[in-house]
This record gives sequence, structure tokens and C-alpha cells, in this order.
Amino acid sequence: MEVTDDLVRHVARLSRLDISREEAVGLKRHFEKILAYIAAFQALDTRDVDPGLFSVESQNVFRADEPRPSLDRAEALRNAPQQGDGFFVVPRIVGAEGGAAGGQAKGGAGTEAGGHEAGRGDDPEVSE
Amino acid sequence: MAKAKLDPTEGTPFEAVIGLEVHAQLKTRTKMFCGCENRYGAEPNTLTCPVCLGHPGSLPAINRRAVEYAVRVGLACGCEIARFTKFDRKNYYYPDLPKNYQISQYDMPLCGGGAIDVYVGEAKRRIGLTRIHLEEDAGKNIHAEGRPESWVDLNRAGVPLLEIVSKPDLGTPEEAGAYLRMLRQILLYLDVSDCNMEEGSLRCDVNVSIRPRGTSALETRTEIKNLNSFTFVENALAHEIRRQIKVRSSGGTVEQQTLLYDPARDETRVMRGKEEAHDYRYFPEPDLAPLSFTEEWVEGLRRSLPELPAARYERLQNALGLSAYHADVLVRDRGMADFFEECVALYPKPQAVANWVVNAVREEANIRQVSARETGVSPSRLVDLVRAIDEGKVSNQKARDVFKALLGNERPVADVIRALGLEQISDDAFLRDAVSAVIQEHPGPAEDVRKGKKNSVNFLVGQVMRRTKGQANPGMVAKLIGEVLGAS
Amino acid sequence: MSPGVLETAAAVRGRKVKAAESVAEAIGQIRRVDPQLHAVSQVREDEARRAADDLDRRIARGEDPGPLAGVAFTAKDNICTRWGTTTAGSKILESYRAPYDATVVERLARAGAICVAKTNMDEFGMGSSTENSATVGPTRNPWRTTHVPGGSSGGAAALAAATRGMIHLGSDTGGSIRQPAACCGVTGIKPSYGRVSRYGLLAFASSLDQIGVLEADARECAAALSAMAGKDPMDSTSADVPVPDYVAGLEKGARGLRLGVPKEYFPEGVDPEVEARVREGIDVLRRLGVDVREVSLPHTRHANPTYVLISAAEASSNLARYDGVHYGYRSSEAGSVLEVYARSRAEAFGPEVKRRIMVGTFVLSAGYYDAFYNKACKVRKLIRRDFEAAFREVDAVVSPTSPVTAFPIGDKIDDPLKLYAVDVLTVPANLATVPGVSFPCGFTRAGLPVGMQLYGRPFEDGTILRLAHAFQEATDHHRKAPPVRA
Repeated sequence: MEVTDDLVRHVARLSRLDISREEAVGLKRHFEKILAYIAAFQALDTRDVDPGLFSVESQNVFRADEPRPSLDRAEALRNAPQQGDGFFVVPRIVGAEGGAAGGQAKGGAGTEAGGHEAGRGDDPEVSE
Repeated sequence: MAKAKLDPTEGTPFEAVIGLEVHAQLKTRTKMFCGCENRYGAEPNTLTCPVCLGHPGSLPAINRRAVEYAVRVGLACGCEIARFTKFDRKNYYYPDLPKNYQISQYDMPLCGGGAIDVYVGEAKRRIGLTRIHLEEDAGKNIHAEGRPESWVDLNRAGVPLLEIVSKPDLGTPEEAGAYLRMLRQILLYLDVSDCNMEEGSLRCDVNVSIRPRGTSALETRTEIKNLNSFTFVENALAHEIRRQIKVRSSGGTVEQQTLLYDPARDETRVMRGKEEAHDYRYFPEPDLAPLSFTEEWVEGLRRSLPELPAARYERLQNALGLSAYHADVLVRDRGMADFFEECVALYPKPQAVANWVVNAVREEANIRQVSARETGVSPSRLVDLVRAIDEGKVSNQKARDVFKALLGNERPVADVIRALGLEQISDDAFLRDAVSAVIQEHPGPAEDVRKGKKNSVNFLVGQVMRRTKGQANPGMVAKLIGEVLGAS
Repeated sequence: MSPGVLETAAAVRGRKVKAAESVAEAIGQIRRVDPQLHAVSQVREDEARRAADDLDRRIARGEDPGPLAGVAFTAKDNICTRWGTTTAGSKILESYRAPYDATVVERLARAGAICVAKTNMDEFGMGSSTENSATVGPTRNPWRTTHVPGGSSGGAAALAAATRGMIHLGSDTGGSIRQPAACCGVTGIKPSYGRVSRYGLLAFASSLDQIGVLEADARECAAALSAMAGKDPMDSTSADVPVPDYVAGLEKGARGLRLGVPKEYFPEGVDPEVEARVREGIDVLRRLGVDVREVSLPHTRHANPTYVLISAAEASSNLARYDGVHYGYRSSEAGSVLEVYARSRAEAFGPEVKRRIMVGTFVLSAGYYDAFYNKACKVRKLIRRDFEAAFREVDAVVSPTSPVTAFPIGDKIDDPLKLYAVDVLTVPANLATVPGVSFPCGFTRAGLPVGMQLYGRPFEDGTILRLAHAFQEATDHHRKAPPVRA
């Protein structure tokens, strides 16, 4: 396959990495080298091989539904680059700003950012 | 069942195709993959640990109860339970998703297939399910007021979440509403979720498209998010179906979009178009061992399932002879139905008991926003009241006052009736004396009764009631008047 | 010369030496050599002394202080400790303070050992030279300070060579314990996957990562592993397999064990001097009564490409959490959430980390998953089958640890693939989840140590330690001291 500039830019976007023009050139070259490096195994016939994706033999490794103490909030937030009023703070989320309909947030003055819930088939991401 | 609503496709050459994706938080004690409490309403970021904060080096561990709950739901919906399944990582960046991947299930969901029977008007419809899978919830982003900031609370991050995906088997907003209500009932019956839409423990996205009536191809659909009440789901669907009909009728084409519904304005707004579709780079979660279930284990869970709402609805009608209305109202509220059944066990007159539970008990429960049991009338006392009515000890009308007086105390029903002076007089000799006295006082009307004038019977009954301060059993009084005057 | 790990523990347990003295001695050794090696990112002074004093008081009260009482240990900087920072050698975690101790750190502490330092590493474990450290800079090889110590556990390896009597925790995703052990002339074990809890190890590639130790000899490795190994409810991939007393197991000797020599493990590109030393080492084992025979692991040449893809794929997801939102570095140039992500990551990840994230994202992305990631998983399965077949015939497999000895700093930094090639003989252990141990089997004419490697069956870590121990009883390569020595 051919490694295009578009592909490198697309992957950088997916990776959430701002890359410079020079970096893009270097990464493109790296992609090409990697593709050449793995060419031999590409030719291996693995049609009958189940990928068997696990490093462990065990199955059903469960935890009992028993509470353990949580961190206290100061400790949870200690490493945050920005925090306030008990929250992690980020620049205003643009992609979901329209979510003012999301209902009042409990525990803070503000409005829950709607439009995003985990697990939706097609989550909104922070858009560009 | 639900009152009939307008079908937005009525009078148009189109029909709607609707599919629902429901997310239900499971009410386990702890989160999906860590020991933090699964609790709503705590101070922000007080229910977190290295695991649900996504701290470096932390690892998930599967909550056994969450898996059991998910399988129970699958069994209740007639799904095929996977014998081998696994978790996958769904990779996307969002501030409320601290690892920037969500542990979810991709190509091997816990449950596949299945269906939910819903009742729309008189009709019963079977709505197919595509899949049910288990995943972790994200935290919450909150827009700070008046500041260019968003705040992140991770208390909800990692709460077990069930995703239930229907087939596009629904044709009207009303059916969608009925499906959601039935699904909610099932989850409540299984006692696996609070299903509180306001608190977000039950959430719904819808997919909708239209097509010329009678065709079967699936056409371009839109997705509507942010629907946090049943009414919003129905209204948003009606709105969107009308919008699509308008677009198509004027020669346009519907674009694949994700929409946000604004209930205040009853309108949808475009959140993003097709070109912004995402690449989640799913792959098997290497930090977790896969799951495999034996037939025995699954069958054990199946045996432990409670009776489900659809079966109960049928049984209340067929075995107990309730009306469809009473059966429906009772089944909708598991606590109410349980209360009813306890009453019937004590006093096997289902319809009489149902009247009291559905009217008096439910009204009280609704006003005070409490469960049937919390109204303060136990099944045995309610049954004592119904029995007192049947035995003529209190009139049906006065019984409502007795019911009110039963609330919030433990006094026996008979005492309450007596204390209120509402004891009904059914003593034959006493009533005969009263009837004779009234006939003597009112010879005219008595004569009329002898001649067959029905109205005059009521007049004489009224006089007996007055004389007995309303405590005479009116049925018996009417009968005695007829007897004495030979005009029954 | 300072006493070894077992001698130190025995002395502290026997009240001949105080834990406080042992810890002070260890910190003193580190202080003496580190200016030349740049092997540590932090030294824990006061807290370590307090922990030692506590232990001494417990001993004075007659309590059992644990099998590793008073032994100092270091943690690679990708292993979480409540004390100090845990940076994984990255600018993105420069000031990150973990709110918890890794399970191995807890277990060693419970056994009476005391953490005294964090060791330098290639950023997030991505490298084979410890040149990719954004926090400390390159670590130097105590045998020749112009050379790399190998990597990514280069700090641990350099200290293991230059000091005595400590346990050095490392991590190994594709050879990051064994290859630096070979470069620095020490003994390093990557246990079976699942043998040691990964809870608290900053994930690079979850299905390959494993914590192990770098020590003076196999006996010290055995002592440390006995205290660290075992099921951990916090790590669902840790195995519920009984932990034997690995030290006691060493005494069974090597006689009668069957050792396979895979022809694929002496490919072109292996330095002839390295091959010669390893073949001499095999002869030593043969003389000890080991039954040496040839075996074949036919998919070996595919191991490194497979590793490159799988490790990158998992890394791209594991490293997504470093985004400047909840902890770690945030770009001051960020005006939106997207910029917080993309700029923080761009500014704070090093070039090798970025390369691997990019490759990993690519191989998982829509349209490429099957051809790359899934294919790699299948080839991984074939590699595992090779080992299963070989281990039906033999108890262990032997090879050079690395095709080359320690190389000069800067030599391979400009060509990532040249550096990846250093891993060809070590990555199969991670792919196949088998244990691997590297130990010195001689030196080149230039005086650089050569490492030889043994692979064993999953959860038979004891067998390869037994072989290594027998070898070390018969040789003295592991006793040679490098020029930089405390």
C-alpha cells in the first residue's frame, strides 16, 4: 500500500497529536519502513489461525460487588493541571455545547453538557 | 394502555422505521471495574479511585454482579446468552472518559437476539432486539456558567451500563413509547436498574427513517440524542418524522445526521453530519480475561427470574379475571402489583381488591410519591376494609373516609369505622323498626310505592338514612321497604 | 564489597545489621555511582530511613520482619510509588504523583524490603538503550560509560551492575529487562506473563508487559520473585498459579534437564563474538549434565514485526490517557479541549513514543485492522505454537539475549528500525507469554559483557532459574565487577 500525506495526517488526528510538517515527513517515511518490515509476515498464510487474542488462559476472573474506599477528593484532583470547586477543569467543550438541554447538573452551578453519553453507537467527540 | 396518539405518517404515503438504543445503569453496589460506590448525587469527584480516574498503571476488574444482572436482562428478553464473550476497547477522546477509551463490547455482545412484547392500544407487537451488551459509563461534563470552561465530575465514570439495541421494528412514536415503558418495566421487575430518566440511569437514543408505505428497504436515517423522558422520545420522533416527510414530499433527500432534541422548543438541531463519523479502533481489552458461561449457570439464572410484566399482565386478566385496564395499571408498578397480590392472597376477591388498590392506594401513593407499601396501609388492613364493605359493615361511600383514617397508623379497621361513627347498620330488626316508622310518617309516598313508583322508594330510603344518621345499610333498607310494602 | 540480597536479609533478620544501616549503605552506593551513570531519577532519603527505623523497631519487638528484611530496592520509573514521582521517563508525567503503590511495591515492602530509588528508563519503556529518557537523559553503561546500558530498564541494569545487595524492579515488554541485563553483565528475569501483578505498572503493551528484576545472580532473582509473584485481585491477568520457593528450587541442579538450541536464534546479524560466548555457555551446561539438542522455532523471523505491530497497537490505546486533562502535562498554548489534547501530547511525548502511537493507531484504524493488527495476532498464535511444540521436547530453550553487545550512545538513535532489531531474540518470550532469563556468559575482546538467554514453559520460571544458577555455580562471569562500581 501507499502511504499518503493524508493518511499520516488522518492518523495524527486520530492520535490527538499536533505534528509539524517536518514530523509528518519523518512519520511518513517511518510508516513506509514499517510496512516494508512487516511485508514478510503479510505473506504468511494464517487463514486457519484463530487470532486467540488473549495472553491469559484463565476465564471469568471476577471481583465481588463489594465497595472499597474511594480516594478523597483532594487526592483525586491533586495531579490535575487545572481544577476548581471540586471538578477537573478544561476549556469549554465546544462539540457538545449545544447540550444545554441536558438538564441541571447536581452538585455544581452549571449545566450538564449534553450530547455525549458513553456507549452510544456514535459518540460525539470534541470536534475540530 | 397508552392513549391513542396521532401517527405523524397518517394521511401521507410514508411509513416510519424506528429503532431504539437504550442505556440503563445497573444498580450494583460498586462500579463496573473498581470498588468505588455506584451512587447518584454524591459531591463531585468523591467516588473515584485510580481505576475509574484512569490513572497510570491501574487495571480493571470485572464486577460479577454486573455480569449477572446483564445476563438476567438478556434472559428476560429471550436473548441468546453468549457462551463465550469478551470486553473490547472503544477508543475515543472525551474529557469525561479518563482513559480515552471505554471498556465496552464490540463483536461478541453478552446477549444477542431476543424480543420485547409491547401493547399498543388493543394490539400486541413483538419488537426484536439486536443485542444487549455491558460497558462502563462515562463521567459528566458540566458547562460552567459565565466562564469559558467545562467541569468534569468522574463519580459516574465506570458505572455499569447496559446497552439494549432494538431492531428497527417500531413504526410510530407511540410504539416507541410503549417499547420504552415495557423495557423499563422489565428492568424494574428484574430489580437491576433504577430506570430514573431524570437522574440519567435510563437514557435513550433513537434512529428514525421513513420510506414509502409498503416498501421494505431501509433508507437513510437520522439519530436523535439527548432524550431524557418518554414524552421527549415520542415528541422528538413525531417531530423528526414530520420533518423527514416534509423534506421528502418537497423532493429533497434526508441526510444522515446526528441530531439533538431541544424539548423546550420542540425542535432538533444538527449535531454532526455523516462525514464526521468516527473510527473507534475497537480491539479486545487485553487487561481482562474473557468470559465463558456454562449451560448450568445460565439456566440457574433463568430459574431465578421473577415473573415478568407481560406474563403478569396476562395472568392478572386470565387467572384473576381483572379488566385489561386494572391489569395494566397494576403491572406498570411492580410494587403496586405485589401489594395487590398480597391482598388477594388474604382475601380472594381480585376485582374488588383491584378497585381499591388501583384507586385509593395508587392515588395516595402518587400524591405522596411513595410506594404502595409506604402509604401506611398494609395489605391485611386494606383487605379488612374491603371485607367490611362486602359484609355491609360500612358503605362504599363512607369506606373512602375509613381508608384515609387508616393511613399512618396501625389501628384495626373495625375500630376506625367505629370511631368515625361510620359503622353501617345491617341489623334486620333494627332496620325493620326504622322502615316501619318512616312508612307511618310518610303515608303518601308509601302508597306510591305500593302502586309501583320507583322514585318513591328512593325517597323512603333517604328518610331511613336520615333517621339513622346515614348508618343504615341502604341496600338492605330498600329491600325491606319493598318487602313491607309488597312492591319489590 | 557490600553483601548480596540474601546475605543482607539474613543479617538484618539475625539482628547483626540494622535495616537503617542497610538502607544507608544502599543509598550511599547509589550516590557514589550515579554521577557517572545517571541511572536514577530520584533517591528516597528521609522516608526510606524512616521506613527502615520502623522495621528495626518491629525487629526489636520480636516481630517477623519478612524474608527480605532491610533489603533496599529500586523501582523502574514506570512503577507507581506513593512517594516521589512516577514519570515513565516522560515529560508528560514529569510531576505526576501516583495516589497508590503498585502491587509489587506493596509486596516487597510487606516482605521487609525498602524502596530507596526510582530508576531511569526509555520513555514509557519504548527503547533498547535508555537514551529516550526525557527526565534524566541517557543512562551510561558501568562497563564503559560511553556506551548505552541497553533498555528500557537501563537505569536498573546499570545499578545492578555497579552496586550490590539491592533488588532492582524492571519491566519487560519485548526484552526491556533481559537486553539491558545482557548489556550490563547482570542477571535479569522476565517472568511468565501473569506471574507478577501488573497493577501499578504503567502500561505500554498490556498483553506483553511483565514486571521482573535485575540482579547480581539467579539466586537473587529467585529470592525477589518468590516475594513478588502470585495472584493479585487488582490484576485480572495475574495467574492463580501457586508460587513455589524459587530459592529452594535452585538446589535441584541442572542435570537431566533437556535444553533446546533453536537454529533460528543464531541468525545472521548476531555478532560472532556473541555467538561464540553463547556456544561456550551451552557447552558449560552440557558439561553440567544438561541434555542439549537442536529444536526449531520456525516462525521466529516473524516475531519482531509481529511485536512491532501488537505493541504499538496496544500502546496507542494505553497512552491515550495522557491528555493533559486529569493529570500530567498540559500545554499552556491550549485554548480548546482539542488543543489540550493535541498540543499537550505533541509537546510532551518524545519522538519514539509518537512514532509508536502513530503506528499503533494506524494498524487499529478502520480498513487496516484485519490486514495488520488481526494478522499480527494470528502470527503471534503461530509463534506460541512453535514454543508449545518445542517445549514438548525440551525443558528450556537457549539463545543469545541480544545479537549485539552494548553499543555507543547515539549509535542507533537516528534509525528506529536498527534499534528495533536489537529486540529480535527477546520479543518471542513476550509474544509467547513464556519466562525468559538473561545472564552473563562471558565478555567480548573489548571487555563488554555478553548475555545468554533461557526460555522456559509458562509458569516454570523456576526451571530456567535453576539452569542459570547451575551455570553461575560453575562460572564466574557474573562476579566480575565493572569499572564503575560502588
